[in-house]
Amino acid sequence: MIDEIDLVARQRPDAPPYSLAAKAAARRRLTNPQAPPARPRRSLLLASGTALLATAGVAAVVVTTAVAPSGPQTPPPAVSRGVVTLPKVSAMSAEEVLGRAARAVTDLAPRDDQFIKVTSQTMYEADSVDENGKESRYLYRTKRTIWLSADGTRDGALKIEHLEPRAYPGWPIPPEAYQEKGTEWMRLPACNSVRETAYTNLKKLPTDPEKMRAYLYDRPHGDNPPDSAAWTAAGDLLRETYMPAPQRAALFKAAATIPGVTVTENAEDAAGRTGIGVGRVFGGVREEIIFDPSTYELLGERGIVVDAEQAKAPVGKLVASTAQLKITVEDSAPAIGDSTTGCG
Amino acid sequence: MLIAASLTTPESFAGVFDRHADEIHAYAGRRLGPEHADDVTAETFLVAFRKRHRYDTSRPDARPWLYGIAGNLISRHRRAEVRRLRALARAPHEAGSLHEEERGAERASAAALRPALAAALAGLSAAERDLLLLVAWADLSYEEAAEALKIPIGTVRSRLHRVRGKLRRHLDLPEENDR
Repeated sequence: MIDEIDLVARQRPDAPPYSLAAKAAARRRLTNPQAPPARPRRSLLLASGTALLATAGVAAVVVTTAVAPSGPQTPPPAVSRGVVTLPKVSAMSAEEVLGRAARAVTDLAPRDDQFIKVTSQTMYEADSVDENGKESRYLYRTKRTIWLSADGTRDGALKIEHLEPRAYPGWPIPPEAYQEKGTEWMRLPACNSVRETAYTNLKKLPTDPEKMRAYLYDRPHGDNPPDSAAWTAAGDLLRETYMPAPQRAALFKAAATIPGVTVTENAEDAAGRTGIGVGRVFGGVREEIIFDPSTYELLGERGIVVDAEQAKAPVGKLVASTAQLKITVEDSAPAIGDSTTGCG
Repeated sequence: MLIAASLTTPESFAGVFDRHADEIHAYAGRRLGPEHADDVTAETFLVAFRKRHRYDTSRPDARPWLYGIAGNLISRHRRAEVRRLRALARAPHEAGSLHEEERGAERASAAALRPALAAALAGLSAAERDLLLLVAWADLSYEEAAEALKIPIGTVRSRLHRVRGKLRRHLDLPEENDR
Protein backbone atom coordinates (compact mmCIF):
# COMPACT_ATOMS: atom_id res chain seq x y z
CA MET A 1 0.00 0.00 0.00
CA ILE A 2 1.41 3.33 -0.92
CA ASP A 3 0.51 6.17 1.32
CA GLU A 4 1.43 9.46 -0.29
CA ILE A 5 2.11 11.10 3.02
CA ASP A 6 4.39 8.30 4.15
CA LEU A 7 6.18 8.68 0.89
CA VAL A 8 6.87 12.32 1.61
CA ALA A 9 7.86 11.45 5.17
CA ARG A 10 10.29 8.82 3.98
CA GLN A 11 11.98 11.37 1.77
CA ARG A 12 12.40 13.85 4.56
CA PRO A 13 15.66 15.64 3.76
CA ASP A 14 18.46 15.66 6.29
CA ALA A 15 18.36 18.69 8.49
CA PRO A 16 21.29 21.07 8.18
CA PRO A 17 23.43 21.10 11.32
CA TYR A 18 22.63 23.75 13.94
CA SER A 19 25.95 25.34 14.77
CA LEU A 20 26.65 25.74 18.46
CA ALA A 21 27.49 29.39 17.90
CA ALA A 22 24.19 30.19 16.17
CA LYS A 23 22.25 28.28 18.79
CA ALA A 24 24.00 30.01 21.66
CA ALA A 25 23.36 33.41 20.05
CA ALA A 26 19.64 32.65 19.68
CA ARG A 27 19.41 31.53 23.29
CA ARG A 28 21.29 34.60 24.49
CA ARG A 29 18.82 36.89 22.78
CA LEU A 30 16.07 35.28 24.79
CA THR A 31 17.69 35.35 28.15
CA ASN A 32 20.07 38.24 28.12
CA PRO A 33 18.88 41.78 27.75
CA GLN A 34 22.36 42.93 26.84
CA ALA A 35 22.52 40.75 23.78
CA PRO A 36 22.34 42.62 20.50
CA PRO A 37 18.74 43.62 20.08
CA ALA A 38 16.60 42.79 17.16
CA ARG A 39 14.34 45.50 15.83
CA PRO A 40 12.52 47.15 18.66
CA ARG A 41 9.20 45.57 19.05
CA ARG A 42 6.37 45.88 21.36
CA SER A 43 5.90 43.37 24.07
CA LEU A 44 2.96 44.51 25.89
CA LEU A 45 2.53 44.64 29.51
CA LEU A 46 -0.82 43.69 28.43
CA ALA A 47 0.61 40.99 26.53
CA SER A 48 -2.18 38.70 25.84
CA GLY A 49 -4.42 35.81 26.05
CA THR A 50 -3.51 33.84 28.99
CA ALA A 51 -3.33 36.97 30.43
CA LEU A 52 -5.80 39.07 31.80
CA LEU A 53 -5.43 41.08 34.38
CA ALA A 54 -6.11 39.48 37.38
CA THR A 55 -4.82 40.36 40.54
CA ALA A 56 -7.02 41.49 42.86
CA GLY A 57 -6.47 44.65 43.73
CA VAL A 58 -7.00 45.95 46.65
CA ALA A 59 -9.89 46.21 48.72
CA ALA A 60 -12.08 44.25 46.70
CA VAL A 61 -11.13 40.99 46.25
CA VAL A 62 -14.09 38.93 46.87
CA VAL A 63 -16.05 41.50 45.40
CA THR A 64 -17.50 41.70 42.08
CA THR A 65 -16.49 44.98 41.02
CA ALA A 66 -19.29 47.22 40.88
CA VAL A 67 -19.44 47.28 37.28
CA ALA A 68 -20.00 45.11 34.54
CA PRO A 69 -22.93 42.91 34.47
CA SER A 70 -21.46 41.01 31.66
CA GLY A 71 -23.21 37.76 31.89
CA PRO A 72 -23.01 35.51 28.90
CA GLN A 73 -26.14 37.00 27.47
CA THR A 74 -25.28 40.56 28.11
CA PRO A 75 -23.47 42.31 25.35
CA PRO A 76 -19.93 43.13 26.31
CA PRO A 77 -19.52 46.43 28.00
CA ALA A 78 -18.79 49.09 25.52
CA VAL A 79 -15.24 50.11 25.19
CA SER A 80 -14.70 53.45 23.72
CA ARG A 81 -13.60 52.53 20.30
CA GLY A 82 -12.81 55.83 18.95
CA VAL A 83 -10.17 58.21 19.80
CA VAL A 84 -9.67 58.30 23.46
CA THR A 85 -8.43 61.59 24.59
CA LEU A 86 -4.76 61.36 24.89
CA PRO A 87 -3.67 60.54 28.36
CA LYS A 88 -2.73 63.62 30.23
CA VAL A 89 -0.12 63.12 32.83
CA SER A 90 -1.55 63.73 36.25
CA ALA A 91 -0.08 65.78 39.01
CA MET A 92 -0.20 62.69 41.18
CA SER A 93 2.98 60.73 41.19
CA ALA A 94 3.19 57.04 40.43
CA GLU A 95 4.68 56.65 43.85
CA GLU A 96 1.62 58.22 45.44
CA VAL A 97 -0.91 56.18 43.51
CA LEU A 98 0.93 52.91 43.86
CA GLY A 99 1.62 53.68 47.51
CA ARG A 100 -2.10 54.04 48.13
CA ALA A 101 -2.75 50.87 46.18
CA ALA A 102 -0.18 49.11 48.34
CA ARG A 103 -1.88 50.27 51.54
CA ALA A 104 -5.28 49.19 50.30
CA VAL A 105 -4.49 45.56 49.63
CA THR A 106 -6.48 42.85 51.30
CA ASP A 107 -6.01 39.13 51.17
CA LEU A 108 -8.39 36.36 50.28
CA ALA A 109 -6.05 33.92 51.99
CA PRO A 110 -7.08 30.81 50.09
CA ARG A 111 -6.21 27.45 51.63
CA ASP A 112 -3.72 25.32 49.74
CA ASP A 113 -6.43 22.94 48.58
CA GLN A 114 -8.70 25.68 47.25
CA PHE A 115 -8.96 27.42 43.89
CA ILE A 116 -8.75 31.03 42.86
CA LYS A 117 -11.41 31.87 40.32
CA VAL A 118 -10.83 34.93 38.16
CA THR A 119 -13.28 36.33 35.63
CA SER A 120 -12.06 38.92 33.22
CA GLN A 121 -12.62 40.49 29.88
CA THR A 122 -9.77 41.14 27.48
CA MET A 123 -8.91 42.74 24.21
CA TYR A 124 -5.42 42.27 22.84
CA GLU A 125 -3.65 42.59 19.56
CA ALA A 126 -3.28 39.57 17.31
CA ASP A 127 -1.12 39.62 14.25
CA SER A 128 -0.38 37.18 11.54
CA VAL A 129 1.34 36.92 8.22
CA ASP A 130 -0.40 35.18 5.37
CA GLU A 131 1.16 33.04 2.70
CA ASN A 132 2.02 36.04 0.58
CA GLY A 133 3.84 37.69 3.44
CA LYS A 134 1.07 40.18 4.01
CA GLU A 135 0.73 41.22 7.62
CA SER A 136 -2.65 41.59 9.23
CA ARG A 137 -3.61 42.85 12.66
CA TYR A 138 -6.79 42.85 14.66
CA LEU A 139 -7.93 43.02 18.23
CA TYR A 140 -9.31 39.77 19.59
CA ARG A 141 -11.66 39.87 22.50
CA THR A 142 -12.63 37.28 25.04
CA LYS A 143 -14.28 36.82 28.35
CA ARG A 144 -12.28 34.40 30.45
CA THR A 145 -12.96 32.52 33.64
CA ILE A 146 -10.08 30.61 35.11
CA TRP A 147 -9.87 28.29 38.13
CA LEU A 148 -6.35 27.93 39.48
CA SER A 149 -5.27 25.55 42.20
CA ALA A 150 -3.80 27.60 45.06
CA ASP A 151 -0.90 25.24 45.60
CA GLY A 152 -0.69 24.23 41.96
CA THR A 153 -1.19 20.53 42.60
CA ARG A 154 -4.73 20.19 41.29
CA ASP A 155 -6.12 20.45 37.78
CA GLY A 156 -7.58 23.83 37.02
CA ALA A 157 -10.08 24.88 34.36
CA LEU A 158 -10.42 27.65 31.82
CA LYS A 159 -13.51 28.88 30.06
CA ILE A 160 -13.04 31.20 27.11
CA GLU A 161 -15.97 32.98 25.53
CA HIS A 162 -14.96 34.54 22.25
CA LEU A 163 -16.36 37.99 21.63
CA GLU A 164 -16.57 39.90 18.34
CA PRO A 165 -13.13 41.00 17.19
CA ARG A 166 -12.42 44.68 16.61
CA ALA A 167 -10.19 46.35 14.10
CA TYR A 168 -6.66 47.22 15.03
CA PRO A 169 -6.99 50.95 14.42
CA GLY A 170 -6.49 51.70 10.75
CA TRP A 171 -6.26 48.03 9.70
CA PRO A 172 -8.97 45.90 8.07
CA ILE A 173 -10.18 42.95 10.13
CA PRO A 174 -8.88 39.78 8.42
CA PRO A 175 -11.27 36.85 7.87
CA GLU A 176 -9.41 34.62 10.33
CA ALA A 177 -10.38 36.99 13.12
CA TYR A 178 -13.86 35.49 12.95
CA GLN A 179 -12.75 31.89 13.13
CA GLU A 180 -12.67 31.74 16.88
CA LYS A 181 -16.16 31.89 18.23
CA GLY A 182 -18.43 30.38 20.81
CA THR A 183 -17.27 29.09 24.16
CA GLU A 184 -14.39 26.75 24.86
CA TRP A 185 -13.71 24.83 28.04
CA MET A 186 -10.26 23.59 28.77
CA ARG A 187 -8.70 21.55 31.48
CA LEU A 188 -5.50 22.97 32.95
CA PRO A 189 -3.57 19.91 33.99
CA ALA A 190 -1.31 20.14 37.02
CA CYS A 191 1.12 17.59 35.63
CA ASN A 192 3.21 17.22 38.77
CA SER A 193 4.73 20.60 38.37
CA VAL A 194 3.68 23.63 40.33
CA ARG A 195 3.25 26.83 38.33
CA GLU A 196 5.57 29.57 39.33
CA THR A 197 2.61 31.87 39.74
CA ALA A 198 0.70 29.46 41.98
CA TYR A 199 -0.45 31.26 45.12
CA THR A 200 1.84 29.20 47.33
CA ASN A 201 4.82 30.19 45.18
CA LEU A 202 3.88 33.85 45.06
CA LYS A 203 3.86 33.75 48.85
CA LYS A 204 7.58 33.06 48.68
CA LEU A 205 8.37 36.24 46.74
CA PRO A 206 9.98 39.16 48.61
CA THR A 207 7.80 41.38 50.76
CA ASP A 208 10.45 44.06 50.77
CA PRO A 209 10.01 46.57 47.90
CA GLU A 210 13.76 46.78 47.21
CA LYS A 211 14.04 43.05 46.90
CA MET A 212 10.87 42.89 44.84
CA ARG A 213 12.37 45.49 42.52
CA ALA A 214 15.51 43.41 42.16
CA TYR A 215 13.30 40.42 41.39
CA LEU A 216 11.49 42.34 38.61
CA TYR A 217 14.76 43.43 37.03
CA ASP A 218 16.16 39.97 37.32
CA ARG A 219 13.54 38.41 35.09
CA PRO A 220 14.63 37.33 31.62
CA HIS A 221 14.21 40.27 29.29
CA GLY A 222 14.46 38.88 25.85
CA ASP A 223 15.60 41.76 23.71
CA ASN A 224 13.56 44.36 25.56
CA PRO A 225 15.10 47.25 27.50
CA PRO A 226 15.41 46.51 31.25
CA ASP A 227 12.89 49.11 32.48
CA SER A 228 10.24 47.97 30.00
CA ALA A 229 10.89 44.38 30.88
CA ALA A 230 10.57 45.16 34.60
CA TRP A 231 7.22 46.82 33.98
CA THR A 232 6.15 43.80 31.95
CA ALA A 233 7.27 41.51 34.77
CA ALA A 234 5.14 43.50 37.21
CA GLY A 235 2.10 43.05 34.97
CA ASP A 236 2.85 39.34 34.65
CA LEU A 237 2.51 38.95 38.39
CA LEU A 238 -0.89 40.67 38.38
CA ARG A 239 -2.58 38.92 35.50
CA GLU A 240 -4.80 35.93 36.24
CA THR A 241 -2.93 35.21 39.42
CA TYR A 242 -3.57 36.03 43.01
CA MET A 243 -0.78 37.92 44.68
CA PRO A 244 -0.82 37.59 48.48
CA ALA A 245 -1.26 40.94 50.19
CA PRO A 246 2.31 41.49 51.48
CA GLN A 247 3.84 40.66 48.09
CA ARG A 248 1.26 42.74 46.25
CA ALA A 249 2.04 45.76 48.40
CA ALA A 250 5.75 45.28 47.77
CA LEU A 251 5.10 44.91 44.04
CA PHE A 252 3.19 48.19 43.80
CA LYS A 253 5.90 50.05 45.70
CA ALA A 254 8.60 48.49 43.55
CA ALA A 255 6.74 49.25 40.31
CA ALA A 256 6.56 52.92 41.29
CA THR A 257 10.37 53.10 41.17
CA ILE A 258 10.67 51.92 37.56
CA PRO A 259 11.87 54.89 35.48
CA GLY A 260 9.30 56.33 33.12
CA VAL A 261 6.24 55.27 35.10
CA THR A 262 3.66 58.06 35.24
CA VAL A 263 0.03 58.56 36.17
CA THR A 264 -2.94 59.52 34.03
CA GLU A 265 -6.46 60.23 35.11
CA ASN A 266 -9.65 59.07 33.46
CA ALA A 267 -8.31 55.79 32.20
CA GLU A 268 -11.16 53.52 31.14
CA ASP A 269 -11.01 49.74 31.47
CA ALA A 270 -12.69 47.14 29.24
CA ALA A 271 -15.79 47.22 31.42
CA GLY A 272 -16.17 50.96 30.96
CA ARG A 273 -15.03 51.83 34.47
CA THR A 274 -12.91 54.91 34.82
CA GLY A 275 -9.88 54.93 37.05
CA ILE A 276 -6.36 56.12 37.53
CA GLY A 277 -3.87 54.77 35.02
CA VAL A 278 -0.31 54.05 36.00
CA GLY A 279 1.95 53.12 33.15
CA ARG A 280 4.89 53.68 30.90
CA VAL A 281 5.44 53.97 27.19
CA PHE A 282 7.03 51.25 25.12
CA GLY A 283 6.96 50.74 21.38
CA GLY A 284 4.73 53.74 20.85
CA VAL A 285 2.09 52.44 23.24
CA ARG A 286 1.44 53.60 26.77
CA GLU A 287 0.80 50.44 28.82
CA GLU A 288 -1.27 51.17 31.87
CA ILE A 289 -2.59 49.42 34.93
CA ILE A 290 -5.86 51.00 36.00
CA PHE A 291 -6.87 51.48 39.64
CA ASP A 292 -10.18 52.43 41.14
CA PRO A 293 -9.89 56.12 42.10
CA SER A 294 -11.43 55.66 45.54
CA THR A 295 -10.67 52.11 46.67
CA TYR A 296 -7.45 51.67 44.67
CA GLU A 297 -8.65 48.27 43.67
CA LEU A 298 -7.08 47.02 40.46
CA LEU A 299 -9.61 47.39 37.63
CA GLY A 300 -7.83 46.42 34.44
CA GLU A 301 -5.20 47.35 31.92
CA ARG A 302 -5.12 49.30 28.72
CA GLY A 303 -2.73 50.09 25.90
CA ILE A 304 -3.11 53.41 24.16
CA VAL A 305 -1.15 54.65 21.16
CA VAL A 306 1.13 57.61 21.80
CA ASP A 307 3.43 57.25 18.77
CA ALA A 308 1.66 56.44 15.51
CA GLU A 309 4.73 55.39 13.61
CA GLN A 310 5.94 52.88 16.14
CA ALA A 311 2.52 51.48 16.95
CA LYS A 312 1.36 51.56 13.31
CA ALA A 313 -1.93 53.03 14.49
CA PRO A 314 -3.18 56.57 15.07
CA VAL A 315 -2.32 58.36 18.28
CA GLY A 316 -4.97 58.12 20.97
CA LYS A 317 -6.41 54.79 19.82
CA LEU A 318 -6.84 51.81 22.09
CA VAL A 319 -4.85 48.71 21.18
CA ALA A 320 -5.40 46.75 24.38
CA SER A 321 -8.03 46.83 27.07
CA THR A 322 -8.88 44.48 29.89
CA ALA A 323 -11.06 44.39 32.97
CA GLN A 324 -10.84 42.11 35.93
CA LEU A 325 -14.43 41.48 36.77
CA LYS A 326 -14.39 39.19 39.75
CA ILE A 327 -12.04 37.20 41.94
CA THR A 328 -13.25 34.60 44.42
CA VAL A 329 -11.99 31.57 46.27
CA GLU A 330 -13.70 28.29 45.48
CA ASP A 331 -13.46 24.81 46.93
CA SER A 332 -13.34 23.09 43.58
CA ALA A 333 -12.85 23.65 39.87
CA PRO A 334 -15.22 22.29 37.23
CA ALA A 335 -14.13 18.86 36.06
CA ILE A 336 -13.63 18.93 32.33
CA GLY A 337 -13.48 15.88 30.16
CA ASP A 338 -10.86 17.12 27.76
CA SER A 339 -9.01 14.26 26.18
CA THR A 340 -6.82 16.56 24.13
CA THR A 341 -5.04 17.87 27.16
CA GLY A 342 -2.48 15.73 28.84
CA CYS A 343 0.93 15.97 30.33
CA GLY A 344 2.71 14.91 27.16
CA MET B 1 7.32 16.79 29.13
CA LEU B 2 5.85 19.52 31.01
CA ILE B 3 5.60 22.81 29.44
CA ALA B 4 2.31 24.12 30.57
CA ALA B 5 3.68 25.64 33.71
CA SER B 6 6.98 26.82 32.37
CA LEU B 7 5.69 28.68 29.38
CA THR B 8 4.13 31.48 31.23
CA THR B 9 7.07 31.94 33.52
CA PRO B 10 9.76 33.89 31.76
CA GLU B 11 12.80 32.41 33.43
CA SER B 12 11.92 28.95 32.39
CA PHE B 13 11.42 30.07 28.83
CA ALA B 14 15.04 29.23 28.15
CA GLY B 15 14.02 25.67 29.00
CA VAL B 16 11.46 25.75 26.22
CA PHE B 17 14.22 26.86 23.87
CA ASP B 18 16.54 24.10 25.05
CA ARG B 19 13.88 21.49 24.55
CA HIS B 20 12.65 22.53 21.12
CA ALA B 21 15.28 24.63 19.33
CA ASP B 22 16.86 21.68 17.55
CA GLU B 23 13.65 20.38 16.07
CA ILE B 24 12.45 23.80 14.98
CA HIS B 25 15.85 24.39 13.38
CA ALA B 26 15.67 21.03 11.64
CA TYR B 27 12.21 21.81 10.29
CA ALA B 28 13.19 25.26 9.05
CA GLY B 29 16.34 23.81 7.50
CA ARG B 30 14.45 21.06 5.72
CA ARG B 31 12.05 23.54 4.24
CA LEU B 32 14.26 26.49 3.47
CA GLY B 33 17.78 25.12 3.44
CA PRO B 34 20.63 26.01 5.76
CA GLU B 35 20.77 29.70 4.86
CA HIS B 36 17.52 30.63 6.60
CA ALA B 37 17.32 28.03 9.37
CA ASP B 38 19.29 29.97 12.01
CA ASP B 39 17.28 33.16 11.56
CA VAL B 40 13.91 31.47 11.46
CA THR B 41 14.72 29.54 14.64
CA ALA B 42 15.94 32.56 16.59
CA GLU B 43 12.96 34.60 15.48
CA THR B 44 10.50 31.82 16.31
CA PHE B 45 11.56 31.80 19.94
CA LEU B 46 11.65 35.58 20.21
CA VAL B 47 8.11 35.79 18.89
CA ALA B 48 7.06 32.96 21.20
CA PHE B 49 8.64 34.71 24.16
CA ARG B 50 6.81 37.92 23.42
CA LYS B 51 3.56 36.14 22.89
CA ARG B 52 3.87 33.73 25.74
CA HIS B 53 0.72 35.07 27.34
CA ARG B 54 -1.24 34.07 24.31
CA TYR B 55 -0.19 30.54 24.83
CA ASP B 56 -2.93 28.66 26.56
CA THR B 57 -1.62 26.92 29.60
CA SER B 58 -4.16 24.23 28.88
CA ARG B 59 -1.88 22.98 26.17
CA PRO B 60 0.98 21.19 27.83
CA ASP B 61 2.94 20.55 24.66
CA ALA B 62 4.39 23.69 23.12
CA ARG B 63 5.33 22.06 19.82
CA PRO B 64 2.20 22.88 17.81
CA TRP B 65 2.35 26.46 18.99
CA LEU B 66 6.06 26.80 18.13
CA TYR B 67 5.59 25.13 14.74
CA GLY B 68 2.72 27.50 14.06
CA ILE B 69 4.98 30.49 14.68
CA ALA B 70 7.82 28.96 12.69
CA GLY B 71 5.41 28.26 9.84
CA ASN B 72 4.37 31.90 9.72
CA LEU B 73 8.01 32.95 9.53
CA ILE B 74 8.81 30.32 6.92
CA SER B 75 5.94 31.60 4.81
CA ARG B 76 7.74 34.91 4.52
CA HIS B 77 10.38 32.98 2.63
CA ARG B 78 7.89 31.28 0.39
CA ARG B 79 9.60 32.41 -2.75
CA ALA B 80 12.92 31.09 -1.49
CA GLU B 81 11.28 27.77 -0.68
CA VAL B 82 9.65 27.38 -4.06
CA ARG B 83 12.83 28.42 -5.81
CA ARG B 84 14.71 25.80 -3.83
CA LEU B 85 12.18 23.10 -4.66
CA ARG B 86 12.20 23.98 -8.36
CA ALA B 87 15.98 23.86 -8.41
CA LEU B 88 15.90 20.46 -6.80
CA ALA B 89 13.25 19.32 -9.23
CA ARG B 90 15.51 20.20 -12.15
CA ALA B 91 18.49 18.38 -10.66
CA PRO B 92 19.49 15.50 -12.84
CA HIS B 93 18.56 12.13 -11.52
CA GLU B 94 21.75 10.73 -10.12
CA ALA B 95 22.73 7.28 -11.02
CA GLY B 96 23.00 6.18 -7.45
CA SER B 97 19.80 7.68 -6.19
CA LEU B 98 17.59 4.71 -6.78
CA HIS B 99 19.93 2.59 -4.80
CA GLU B 100 19.95 5.16 -2.02
CA GLU B 101 16.19 5.16 -1.87
CA GLU B 102 16.09 1.46 -1.48
CA ARG B 103 18.09 1.79 1.65
CA GLY B 104 15.42 3.77 3.28
CA ALA B 105 14.40 7.14 4.46
CA GLU B 106 17.47 7.84 6.51
CA ARG B 107 19.54 7.83 3.39
CA ALA B 108 17.69 10.65 1.81
CA SER B 109 19.56 13.90 1.99
CA ALA B 110 18.59 17.41 1.11
CA ALA B 111 20.38 17.11 -2.18
CA ALA B 112 18.69 13.82 -2.87
CA LEU B 113 15.14 15.01 -2.29
CA ARG B 114 13.83 13.24 -5.28
CA PRO B 115 13.27 15.66 -8.12
CA ALA B 116 9.76 14.38 -8.74
CA LEU B 117 8.86 14.92 -5.11
CA ALA B 118 10.41 18.38 -5.11
CA ALA B 119 8.31 19.23 -8.15
CA ALA B 120 5.22 17.84 -6.49
CA LEU B 121 5.82 19.88 -3.36
CA ALA B 122 6.43 23.02 -5.39
CA GLY B 123 3.10 22.40 -7.09
CA LEU B 124 1.10 22.49 -3.87
CA SER B 125 -0.44 25.65 -2.52
CA ALA B 126 1.43 27.18 0.41
CA ALA B 127 -1.34 26.16 2.79
CA GLU B 128 -1.26 22.59 1.53
CA ARG B 129 2.50 22.40 1.79
CA ASP B 130 2.46 23.82 5.32
CA LEU B 131 0.06 21.15 6.46
CA LEU B 132 1.66 18.26 4.62
CA LEU B 133 5.13 19.03 5.89
CA LEU B 134 4.01 19.53 9.48
CA VAL B 135 2.60 16.03 9.36
CA ALA B 136 5.25 14.36 7.22
CA TRP B 137 8.42 16.13 8.33
CA ALA B 138 7.64 17.46 11.80
CA ASP B 139 5.64 14.39 12.89
CA LEU B 140 2.72 16.41 14.17
CA SER B 141 -0.54 14.52 14.61
CA TYR B 142 -3.61 15.82 12.75
CA GLU B 143 -4.80 17.39 15.98
CA GLU B 144 -1.46 19.08 16.56
CA ALA B 145 -1.32 20.31 12.98
CA ALA B 146 -4.81 21.74 13.39
CA GLU B 147 -3.66 23.55 16.50
CA ALA B 148 -0.46 24.80 14.84
CA LEU B 149 -2.31 26.15 11.81
CA LYS B 150 -5.33 27.29 13.78
CA ILE B 151 -7.69 25.44 11.49
CA PRO B 152 -10.41 22.93 12.38
CA ILE B 153 -9.53 19.27 12.38
CA GLY B 154 -12.05 18.70 9.60
CA THR B 155 -10.13 21.12 7.40
CA VAL B 156 -6.93 19.19 8.13
CA ARG B 157 -8.52 15.99 6.92
CA SER B 158 -10.08 17.44 3.80
CA ARG B 159 -6.95 19.40 2.90
CA LEU B 160 -4.76 16.31 3.31
CA HIS B 161 -7.17 14.34 1.18
CA ARG B 162 -6.70 16.88 -1.58
CA VAL B 163 -2.95 16.81 -1.08
CA ARG B 164 -2.87 13.02 -1.46
CA GLY B 165 -4.67 13.33 -4.76
CA LYS B 166 -2.29 15.98 -6.05
CA LEU B 167 0.74 13.97 -4.99
CA ARG B 168 -0.62 10.87 -6.66
CA ARG B 169 -0.95 12.74 -9.90
CA HIS B 170 2.40 14.52 -9.65
CA LEU B 171 4.28 11.42 -8.64
CA ASP B 172 2.49 9.31 -11.16
CA LEU B 173 1.25 6.85 -8.61
CA PRO B 174 -1.66 4.54 -9.33
CA GLU B 175 -5.04 5.97 -8.44
CA GLU B 176 -5.95 2.92 -6.43
CA ASN B 177 -3.56 1.77 -3.81
CA ASP B 178 -2.05 -1.53 -4.72
CA ARG B 179 0.18 -3.97 -2.96
